[in-house]
Amino acid sequence: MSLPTSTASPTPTRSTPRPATPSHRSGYRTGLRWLLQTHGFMFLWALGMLVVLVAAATIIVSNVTTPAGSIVQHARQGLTWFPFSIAIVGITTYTNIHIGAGLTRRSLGWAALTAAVVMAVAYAALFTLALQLERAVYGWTGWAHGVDGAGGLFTSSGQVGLVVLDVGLLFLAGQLSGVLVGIVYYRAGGWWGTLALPLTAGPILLATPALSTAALGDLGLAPRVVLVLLVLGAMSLAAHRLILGVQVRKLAT
Amino acid sequence: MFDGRDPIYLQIADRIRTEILNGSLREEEQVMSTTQYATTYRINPATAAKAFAQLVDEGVLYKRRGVGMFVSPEARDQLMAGRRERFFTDVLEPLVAEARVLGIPLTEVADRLRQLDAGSGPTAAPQVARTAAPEGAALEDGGVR
Amino acid sequence: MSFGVEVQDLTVEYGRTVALERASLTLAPGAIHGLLGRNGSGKTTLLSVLAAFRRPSAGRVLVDGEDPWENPRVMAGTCLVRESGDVEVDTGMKDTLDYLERARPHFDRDLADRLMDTFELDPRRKPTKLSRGKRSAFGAVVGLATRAELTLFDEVYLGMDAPSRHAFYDALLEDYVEHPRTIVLSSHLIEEIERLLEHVVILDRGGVLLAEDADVLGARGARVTGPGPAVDAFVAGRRVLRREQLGPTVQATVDATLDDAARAEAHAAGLEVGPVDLQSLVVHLTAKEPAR
Repeated sequence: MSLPTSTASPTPTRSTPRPATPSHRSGYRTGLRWLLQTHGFMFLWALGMLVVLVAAATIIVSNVTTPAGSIVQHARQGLTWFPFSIAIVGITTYTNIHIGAGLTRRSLGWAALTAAVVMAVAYAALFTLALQLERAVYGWTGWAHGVDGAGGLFTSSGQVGLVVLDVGLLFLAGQLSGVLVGIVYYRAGGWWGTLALPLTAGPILLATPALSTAALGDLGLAPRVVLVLLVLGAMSLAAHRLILGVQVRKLAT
Repeated sequence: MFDGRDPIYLQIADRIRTEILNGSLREEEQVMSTTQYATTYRINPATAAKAFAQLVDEGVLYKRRGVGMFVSPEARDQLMAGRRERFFTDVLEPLVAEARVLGIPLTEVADRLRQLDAGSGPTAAPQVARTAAPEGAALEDGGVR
Repeated sequence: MSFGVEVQDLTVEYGRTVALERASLTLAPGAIHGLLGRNGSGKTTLLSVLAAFRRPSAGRVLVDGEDPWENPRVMAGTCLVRESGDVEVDTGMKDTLDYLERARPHFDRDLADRLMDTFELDPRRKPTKLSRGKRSAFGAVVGLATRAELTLFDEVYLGMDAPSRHAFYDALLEDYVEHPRTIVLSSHLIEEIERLLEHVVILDRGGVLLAEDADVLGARGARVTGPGPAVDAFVAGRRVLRREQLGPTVQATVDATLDDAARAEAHAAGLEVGPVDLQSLVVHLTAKEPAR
């Protein structure tokens, strides 16, 4: 997969002046901005929910017993699947708008992949920050901040690097999978879209065991990461190819 | 002309000719631009332009570069001459044919014509000029559709 | 600037359905074209290919001399408004206008705002909350304000009431004379748009039935009325689209452009010759008779 020269360096979204010569690049900017706006709005929702739920759970648990494990760690699943669903909605809604506005599929493909990476990083940052804040609170109250060592790459909440790597890869798998599911539903309709779910949503389930120290025996960290990256690369390639050939659907009237 | 369905551009050209003849468009007066014509009467500008081009070809209108189109000084006389010629073929000949079909003797027709002429007198022409409708109304009720 | 269109042997298949079969046509740049035909004749499919919404199954399509598929320049200069437009429906229309202002090179926001007023559209409302007619009006606003070199309106007036449609025609002409560009209007409402058109393309069963200047087409077709034998003698050798008999009187609609000599001949035979409006002509030409 070679990056087109026009999108070689992803530019941050800002209010861009109108393009003098229309190019894939200008479409890329417009598309990325739309996708990030939509995702960003839902990110704020996720942030709010996380704060409320974790605070509530912490208060309840601490009233019943002495907390012995992180509550934030359970958000790892929620923060995978919630953005996954937003990615599905995003690509299915936006394809018509993007091409209808005279922008190319190529720019849409790169915008969707970039948005996936940006959002995965954002959610990973959110998760890591929440976990560290919680760790600080636990440290202050004297509770043990335990994590389920089998589920992810990290065995202690103090391993910030491993935490970021773990959820970063997992959330990216969720994002890419969302784009794949969405574009296949868009292209092939409900029936085939559903039948293709093992292929489109499956990669998340493929990435999960690779990130879990409980599975695949005593495979080292590097091979695990490489394995996940290979899966993610294949997903990106598939998503981009599928977007590149998309035909705009008829309007339901 | 057996029906009112000539191409629209011919109808527009005819409309302008009539306006010149009845005096609502005077010599050296500027006529509407094709774009004004198009938007006012909701027709394709190319169609309007075709009508104007025909009138320019005939010498009824002339172009002043960058200003617009104007009625030629000799437009009215020229149109009059043309219409006079056609009067006999287009109006009089069918009239005679119809009179024959109905069995009306031509002397009777001639008598009636003389009566009409004596009744209205020579003031008819200026009157037409004065009561000429504004351009818009003229086309609205016309057969451009 | 305006984009011209050249289509050669265009075939588009949806699965086993053939929407267009070896259609060829040319659209001159800078003109207003009418795309007419019955439902299912291939109008929407043709427009979708021009706008690079779809890829042809076979044949060649050139817009401004280039293949529109994934062509950033041509796609940016082409705007297809399908019915209510491909816009975000669940957010205020203002957001869509903001978006298009960024996405479209020639988008005129002032024009868009003026047209929103004309069609009495509240920019804060979402298209999903609007009536069909109002959504169509928003599509019209988008199509006009985008000011694309090739602007394609596919039945944009569906659900619009007569005053709104006329407001649309006025706005279209007004903006067109100031910013000439290639415009294609597909419609069933032939009578209403007839005078706006410079050129007409009629599709029938996935093929191009005819493509002609509106003027030429306007003179085409005649309705001949009179005594049966006289009518039949006159129309012999001409293509009769329809023949109706009422007692001894026959009315025949012929697909022919009658010159003055032919008209004189008809008149001499005691026949009346009347015009056929474009709407009836299209109805007759695209009626049940086999197209191929």
